[in-house]
Amino acid sequence: MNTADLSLEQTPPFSVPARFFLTAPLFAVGAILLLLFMDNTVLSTRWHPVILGVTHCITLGVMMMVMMGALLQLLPILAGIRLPHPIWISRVFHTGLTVGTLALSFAFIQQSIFLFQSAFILLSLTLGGFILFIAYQLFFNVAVYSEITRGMQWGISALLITILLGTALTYNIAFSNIIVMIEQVTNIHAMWGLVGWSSLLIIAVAYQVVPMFHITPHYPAVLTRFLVPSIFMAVMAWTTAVIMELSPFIITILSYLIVGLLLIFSFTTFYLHTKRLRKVKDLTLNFWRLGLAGIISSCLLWGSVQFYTLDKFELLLGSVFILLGILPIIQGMLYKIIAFLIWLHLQQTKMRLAVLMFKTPNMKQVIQDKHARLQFLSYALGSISFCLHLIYAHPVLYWLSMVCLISTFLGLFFILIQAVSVYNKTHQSIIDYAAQQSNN
Amino acid sequence: MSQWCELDVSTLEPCEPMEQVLAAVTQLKGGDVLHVYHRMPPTPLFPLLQQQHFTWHMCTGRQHPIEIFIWQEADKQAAEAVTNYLAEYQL
Repeated sequence: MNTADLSLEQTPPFSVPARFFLTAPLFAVGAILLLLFMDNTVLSTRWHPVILGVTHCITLGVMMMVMMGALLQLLPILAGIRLPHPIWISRVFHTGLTVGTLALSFAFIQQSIFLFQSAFILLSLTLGGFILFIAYQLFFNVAVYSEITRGMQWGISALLITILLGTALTYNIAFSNIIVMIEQVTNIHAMWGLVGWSSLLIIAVAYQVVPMFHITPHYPAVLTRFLVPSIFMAVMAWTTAVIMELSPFIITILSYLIVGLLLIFSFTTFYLHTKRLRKVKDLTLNFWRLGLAGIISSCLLWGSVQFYTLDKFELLLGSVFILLGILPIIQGMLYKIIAFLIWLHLQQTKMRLAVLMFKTPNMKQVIQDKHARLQFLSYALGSISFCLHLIYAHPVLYWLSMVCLISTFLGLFFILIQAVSVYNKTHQSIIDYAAQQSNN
Repeated sequence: MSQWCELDVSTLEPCEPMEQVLAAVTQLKGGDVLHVYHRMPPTPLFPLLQQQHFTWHMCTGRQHPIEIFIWQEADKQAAEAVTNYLAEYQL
């Protein structure tokens, strides 16, 4: 094996992912403030306009934002893809996603046709352009093939379906009614966005980052080969069954199949964490454990809905899956990825300027453990109390969750700002040192 | 006198493996080979090696998942030593 076609020049500058990573926590803070300023009764159903606005603020403004930034940076490193004009491309996607998400969220809250029309144009262009761009790179431009790139191919296909459905739903409100089964199409859109796109991308990236950063054995080969395509096929079969209005029994069986596949991933990852080759303290493990427990809880909830009907069940299911499942894993990955990228970019700067002896901070020095620990505790308390509030509707739980969630995402923002500042200062110091060396 | 240096980074957490490899390659002289044991392909390492004019060969290992051999670019003696090693252990 040799990967000679990799070069330093094809790694995009650090500003490319940084702009996405720094924006994401601000959207999370905005989403919680929206909930705070609205009447407490908005938490009665997932169809409430404020809940729809907040949901898209989180799914597009936080989840999609981080995933977009990570993909633009990681594809060149992990798959040897050479991205053309990375700075220009990232600015366009970042601006389009930021403004489009704001337009869509406020369109839901204010029920403004103008904002829906603006969101439709901005998001269909931005996300459509992003999918075409990434799909072309992933399907035709990969230098280093691995399970992660194959997983990303399935993930990006799921994103395409999510965006097509989302765009059709937005068009429906903004311009004219073209969809008859609004509720079913919305459910299918949510299924592809959460279980399709988000879960598939997380699983594909986990194949790389769990063994790499947590020093575990690799995922079993049979799992890395078949799990992601199986989930995609199961979601496709479920979608077909819902559209064709097949018997509820078939839809239930397919739901259990999807739940089973997600449980396989969660329990395998838990198992791998118990088999770590070197058991060093690692805060991001807590984020992963919380996230895996959240995915397992949402799977159990989803399984139980086949037998019981609870008020606000759908809102609870979505909150557990997103708040307790996906978001903690994204944060756990974000800490590792940003620290690793900062270290890697500084190494590359040292190489480029031929000052290898210059001492640069390692990954643990980029992000302070004590700050990240506080941020995790605040996140865990906030997200768990929010989900409990949806069941018990207690004001103490409500206020606790709001205070903790705002603190945690502001904390995350400042931790990331601090990391970027470490990068900027060290980068400048390397340049000054190199200039001094050349003068001597 | 050429040297065959072994370095096991298979249980280290990032970014220690890359730091140790990058420190070790600066010690390599003509004819020397750095033999690295790793648990996964260190893709971001290779452009850095290329930048510093090193050649490498990566293969599936016997006792560790990945083995990497690194030597100075255009060093025929080291390249021959690696070829012989690979043939001997059928890697």
